[in-house]
Amino acid sequence: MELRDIKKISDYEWEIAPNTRPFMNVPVRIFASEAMLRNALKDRSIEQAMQAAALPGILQAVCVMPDVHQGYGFPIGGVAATDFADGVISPGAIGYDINCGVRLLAGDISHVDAKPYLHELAIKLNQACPSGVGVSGSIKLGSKDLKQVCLQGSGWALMKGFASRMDIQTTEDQGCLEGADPFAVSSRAFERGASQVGSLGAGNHFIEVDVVEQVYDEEAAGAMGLVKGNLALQLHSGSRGFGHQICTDFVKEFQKVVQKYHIHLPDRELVCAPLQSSEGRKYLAAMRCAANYAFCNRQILASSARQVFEDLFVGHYLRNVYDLAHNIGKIELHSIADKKTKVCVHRKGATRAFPAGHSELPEIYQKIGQPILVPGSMGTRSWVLVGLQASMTKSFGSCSHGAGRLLSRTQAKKMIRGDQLRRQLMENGIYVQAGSLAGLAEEAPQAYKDIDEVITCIEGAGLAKKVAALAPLAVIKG
Amino acid sequence: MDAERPFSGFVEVPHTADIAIDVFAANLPQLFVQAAQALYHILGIRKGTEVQRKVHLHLTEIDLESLLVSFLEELLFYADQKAVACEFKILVEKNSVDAEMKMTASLSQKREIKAVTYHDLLIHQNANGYQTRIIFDI
Repeated sequence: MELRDIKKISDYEWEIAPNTRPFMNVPVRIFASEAMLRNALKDRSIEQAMQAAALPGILQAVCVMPDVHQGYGFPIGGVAATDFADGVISPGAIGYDINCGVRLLAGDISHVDAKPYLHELAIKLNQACPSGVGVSGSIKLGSKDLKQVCLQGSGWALMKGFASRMDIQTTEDQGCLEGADPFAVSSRAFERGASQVGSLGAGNHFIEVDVVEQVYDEEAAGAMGLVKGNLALQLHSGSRGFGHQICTDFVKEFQKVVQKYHIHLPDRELVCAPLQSSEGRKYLAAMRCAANYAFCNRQILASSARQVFEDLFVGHYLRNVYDLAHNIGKIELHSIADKKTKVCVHRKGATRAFPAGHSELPEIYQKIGQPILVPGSMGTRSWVLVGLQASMTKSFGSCSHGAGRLLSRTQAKKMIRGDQLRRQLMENGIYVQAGSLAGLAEEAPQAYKDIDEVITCIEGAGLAKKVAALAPLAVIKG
Repeated sequence: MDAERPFSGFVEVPHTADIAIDVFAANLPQLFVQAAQALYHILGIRKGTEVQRKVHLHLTEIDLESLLVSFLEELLFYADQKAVACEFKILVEKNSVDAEMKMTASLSQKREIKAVTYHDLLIHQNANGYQTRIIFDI
């Protein structure tokens, strides 16, 4: 695929016609500047988006965000909506880390006042929030409690004292997807999930202490409790081994299901089942268990982080701004050809971005729109946006989830040494707590796209608008 | 046969976000063993010295590629339980795999693998034996 094969709609919107490949059912719509699109064409992400357009019952277009990069089967930074009545659900289009997502908390202490304690804060957060390879969570659950986590999500944390009502209200879907069924989940997934609730994991998962560097929308920032110069805390994690196992189980099972339903796809990782079939319904119920597990996991981690923060800065608090998913399948109502249609929106490396007035938003965000959390790479800025009406018509109410990878992990490790990176970050005033220096190098800022360019594309396409920029002060990685 | 290339083994190939490995071997059982070694290499596992137990796996799937994914997923599950295969005796047929494995302890592990994917997965046979590319979700 070459740039000349892609139709330019505007400076930030491009389209690949559905007749470009024989298997495509809909076009591919890309939200990117020309420079970012050229970057995306360097790996297989656009080809993978075209393959996703083969999913049966897919509607309107496969949407591609500016932070897109090559995944496996479905690109990271992709959105696809399928008709609930006669479309399919594809586990690979949601990802193995079901409901991997981000939470943002706003502090009421200024950077100036907190500065002498930041190193101590980083160390204590690292101690309180278990992270790293094979590390268990802060609590171990029996099967009865684990099933309740599947059914109640963050509600379980509220019941056990790990959450406030405000935390629940300011979490996507109030931290619980209805329709979860623990009987749809394998015993192996339960075995893997039992010890991991309240753990961060490794790889690109992190906790980051930030300062609110700039506010662009005073009203929206005020509603979120974000004040220029004050601390904020971001947390990135997902459903851990529990979600990985559920996706693994269904990708394997669906290899046979596609044969049963005579579904032909250009890649086996896109395997799917009709949403109305027993197999499709079973996956949806299991996927919702993992989504609820992840909501609960981030809530427990946030509770631990809040405890550390409030112990260190006595009299101050961390308020939940929002918690959202960026690997998930959701049943939503969208307007397709002026008709309200029930669809399954697959967001893989993409977040929900609902505008002001949407019925799914909590009261405090009704006037401003849904907060969107777009973390940058370690050492660079992160962004808080709010969803705009155009996202509903252009991208099924979706937006970017991060900066997006540019370099492979091997390339990153060849170019960057973990110890040098840590020293460089320290020189820039960023404390780093990392389980592995090699892992740190893999996640270096140079391995990612420019987050500011991603945000320019998102604003340019009209999907969301800027509220605030956050600058990192301390990073905790597994 | 390519004089530059060893008889069997694995090599990492570029992938933006995840890890892609090319695996090659003279026969199918060796291809499965090499894929297992690649998996352990990515995980960065340090193996113990003593054999602790034997495990027998019997897997049935619709084709060879599904067998390979299932086999590696089983090893991934054991690695999660801190157990690593150090000796393999494998029989591969069209729709089934029987593997006798001696297991030792995983003393440490540097990386997590979320899953073994089917993306672009195809086992090829050529004059030198078998080869395939496996993408691991990291």
